[in-house]
Amino acid sequence: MRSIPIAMIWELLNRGRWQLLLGFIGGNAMPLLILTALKFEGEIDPDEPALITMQMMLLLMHTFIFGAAILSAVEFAPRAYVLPARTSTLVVWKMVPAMILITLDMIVSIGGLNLLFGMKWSITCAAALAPVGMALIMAALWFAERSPWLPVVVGTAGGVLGLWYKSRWGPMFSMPQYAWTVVTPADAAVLILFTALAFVVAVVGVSRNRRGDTIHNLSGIAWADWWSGDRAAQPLKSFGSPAEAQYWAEWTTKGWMLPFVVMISLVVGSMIFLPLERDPKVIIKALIGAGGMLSAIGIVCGFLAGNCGSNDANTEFGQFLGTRPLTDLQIGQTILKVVLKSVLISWSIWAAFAATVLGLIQVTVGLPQMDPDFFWPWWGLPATLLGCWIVAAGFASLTLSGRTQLWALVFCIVITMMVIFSLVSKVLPRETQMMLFAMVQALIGIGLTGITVWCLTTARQRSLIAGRMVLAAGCIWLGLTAVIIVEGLRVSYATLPATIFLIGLASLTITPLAAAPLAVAANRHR
Amino acid sequence: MPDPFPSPSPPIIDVQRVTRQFGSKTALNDVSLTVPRGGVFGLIGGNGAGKTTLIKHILGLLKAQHGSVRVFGLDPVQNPVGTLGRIGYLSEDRDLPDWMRVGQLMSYTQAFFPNWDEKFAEELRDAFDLDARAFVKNLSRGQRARAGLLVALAHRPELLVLDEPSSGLDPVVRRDILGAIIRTIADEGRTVLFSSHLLDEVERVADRIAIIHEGRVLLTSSMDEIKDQHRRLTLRFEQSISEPPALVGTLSRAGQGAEWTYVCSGESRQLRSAAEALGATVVDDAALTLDEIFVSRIQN
Repeated sequence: MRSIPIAMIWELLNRGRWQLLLGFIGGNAMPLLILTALKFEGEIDPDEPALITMQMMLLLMHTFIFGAAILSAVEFAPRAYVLPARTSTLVVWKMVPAMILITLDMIVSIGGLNLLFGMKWSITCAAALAPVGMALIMAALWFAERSPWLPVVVGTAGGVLGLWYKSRWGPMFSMPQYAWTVVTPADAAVLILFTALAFVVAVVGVSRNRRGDTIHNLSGIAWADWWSGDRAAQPLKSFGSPAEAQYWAEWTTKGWMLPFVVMISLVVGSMIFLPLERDPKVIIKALIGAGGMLSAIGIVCGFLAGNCGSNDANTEFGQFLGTRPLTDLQIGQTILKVVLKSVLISWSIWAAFAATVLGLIQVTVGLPQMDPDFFWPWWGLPATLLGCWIVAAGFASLTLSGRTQLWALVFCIVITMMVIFSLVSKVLPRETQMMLFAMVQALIGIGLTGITVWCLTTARQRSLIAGRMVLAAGCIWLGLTAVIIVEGLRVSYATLPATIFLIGLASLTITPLAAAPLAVAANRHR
Repeated sequence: MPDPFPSPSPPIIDVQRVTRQFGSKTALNDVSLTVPRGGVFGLIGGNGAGKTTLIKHILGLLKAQHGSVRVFGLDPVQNPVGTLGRIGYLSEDRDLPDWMRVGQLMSYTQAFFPNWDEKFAEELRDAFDLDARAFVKNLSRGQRARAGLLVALAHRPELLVLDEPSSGLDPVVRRDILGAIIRTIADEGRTVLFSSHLLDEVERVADRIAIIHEGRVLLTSSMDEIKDQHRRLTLRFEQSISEPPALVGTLSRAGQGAEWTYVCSGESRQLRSAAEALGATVVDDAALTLDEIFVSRIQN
C-alpha cells in the first residue's frame, strides 16, 4: 500500500466487513418489517401523513444502527498514535471513509425502499444528514475517550444534531408535520458547519489522547472526578455467599442501565411531547406505545447482561469470571436475577409514570372515550412486562452462549422471513398470503415450544436445572397457555394458528431458566 | 536417580492423553501430565507451545476433546466449585474487573473463598503497595499483576496456578512473584504450577518441570534429574574429522577439526565411557543450564 488513505480505507473495509454487512441488514430490518406489514394490509400511500413520523424515526434508527456498525469497525487504537502522520491526517482518513460508507448506505437503502414499496423518501436529505451525524459522534467519542463523561459528550453531540434534524420536519418541539425532502442552501451551510466543528473537536481529542492526556485533565472535570472519587470510595459490606458477591458485581456493572434508560427516556420524552400534545387520546396511545418500547429496549438490556466477556466487544467467557468457584447454574441464575430485577424496576417506572399521567388526565379533563378501533385488552398491561422479560432474558441467554453465530442466525432468519413476506405480498393473491401467514405463525409457535422443551430437558439431563424448577416453569407455562386459550375462545378473531403462535411465544417466558445455564456451560467450558 | 519427591498422596493434577484441536491446528497432542502434591512444578515451552491451553484444561475453561483431566481427583468442568475453590489463579493477561477498586476486588473475592485470610490479604496489599481506593483499570502492568497475585494468594490456596506470571514485568515485581511462590510452598502440602518461557526463573524455584513443544510434552522430570541427565561434552579426536561420529544420547553437536562439542542426554559416567569407546578424549564435561537443555531438546 502506497498511501495513508488507501491503507486506512483498506483497514476499515477489511476489519469491518462483517460488521458492515450486519449493520446494513440490521438497519434495513425494521423499515422492511414495518413496510411489509403495511403492504400486507393494502397498498401504501406514500403521501399519508401518518407515515411522516414513521419515516423520520426509521431514518434515524437506520443511521444509528449502520453508524454503530461503522464505529465498531473504525478502531483508533493507540498504535495509530505512533504512525508518522499528523493528527489531522489520521482524523481525516478515519472520518472521511466512514462518512462515505454511510452516505452510500443511505443511497442504497432509501433507494431500495422507495423502489420496493413505492415510497417517496428523500435520498439526498438522508445522504446529507447521515455522514454529518457520523462525523459528530466519532468526534465526541474521540474527545471523551474512555471517560465516564463519554455518554454526556456523545449525548450532547447527538442531541444537538437530533434537534436540528427534527426542525427539518416541522416545528422543533412538536410532532412532524411534513417530510424533509430538499436540502436547502441554509441546510447545507449548517451541515458543513457541523462537519467542520466535528473535525476540529476530533483533532483536539485525538491530539490530547496522542500525548497521553485525557479529558480528566480539564479542570472542571478533574474537580468532579476528585469529588465523586472520595465519596464513592466507601468500604464494602461483606457478602454472605459467592452468589451474592457475583450478583453485586453484575448489578453494579449492568443491571441499573435499563431502568436508567427507561427513566431518562420517559423524562426527556415527556418534556418534549407532553407540553405540545394536548389530546388525551394521543397521550394515552403514546403511553401504551412506550410500554411496548420496553420490549425493544430489552434487547440492549439482554445483550449487556449476558456479556460475560472480559470486554464489551468479546462475549467469550472471561478468565476472571470463568475461574470463580461458582457453578454454571449459579452464574446463569445470577444473571437472570439481574435481568428480572432490571425489568421489574423498568416496568414499574413506566407503569408509575403512566398511572400518574392518566391520573392527571382524569383529574383535569377526565379520561376520554377512545376510538372504536383502539385496542387495549385487559392482558395488555401484563403483556408489556412479560414482553420485556422475554426479550431481555432471551437475548441475555443468547449472548451468554458467547457464539455470535447464534445472533447472526436469529438475525438472518428474521430478515429472510421479512424479505420472503415482502416478495410474497407482491406476487401471491391475498387468500394465499393469509394461508401462508397462518402456516408460518403455527410453525413458529411449534418451533418456539420445541426449543423450550429441548432447553428444559437438556438442562435437566446435565443437572443444570433442578427438577422443582422445571415443574414450576411448566406450571407457569400451562397457566399462560390456559389464559391464551380461554381468551382466544372468548374473542371472535383468535385463530388456531395465532393461538399456537401465542402459546409458543408464552413458552419463551420460561425458556431462559434452562437456556441461561446451558449457555454459560457452553461458553465457560469450550 | 530416584525421584526426590515421591509423593504417597494422589497427584493434585492428573492429565491423561488430552488432545485439543482448534480448527485444523492441534494445540495439544496426546498430552499426559501428573503434578504431584507439594512443591513447584514448572511448565516450560516457547510461544504457542500449548502451555496456556493445558492450563485452561486444568481450570475447566476448556473441555478435553479426548482424554481426561482431574484436579484434586475431580473433573474441573463438572465440579467447578470443588476445584476452583481450592485454586488461586493468575492469568497471563491479568484478567481482572477493571471497574472495581482494589478494595472492592478484595471484598468481592473474599466471598468466594471460605479460607480467605483477611489479615494476610491486608499484609499482601501493604507489601505490594496497592491503594485500596485505586481502580484496577488505572493500575500499571506491574501493579495489576500484584493485584491479581493478591487475590490469588489471600485465600491460601492448595494449588497456585500462574500463567506466565513474570511476562512483561520489571525485576521488582518478578521478585514479588517469585517470593509469593516460595511463600506458598513454605506452607506444607501446597503446590505451585507455573508456566513460563523465562527459564532462569524456572530454574531458580521449580522442583519439577515439564517441557512442552508444539502441543507435546517432550520431557517431565525433577530439576536435579534433568540437570544430571544432560551434559555438555567436549571431545578431542586423534585426527581432524569433517563429520563426527554419533554418540549415544546426542541432542546436538558442533565443532570442527579434531575438537567437537556434544550436548547429550545421559549420565556423565556412561557418556564418558561411550566417548572413550569412540577413541576420543573427554576434554570438558559440564552441566547445562535449563536454557541450554530446553533449546537442545526443542531443536532435536
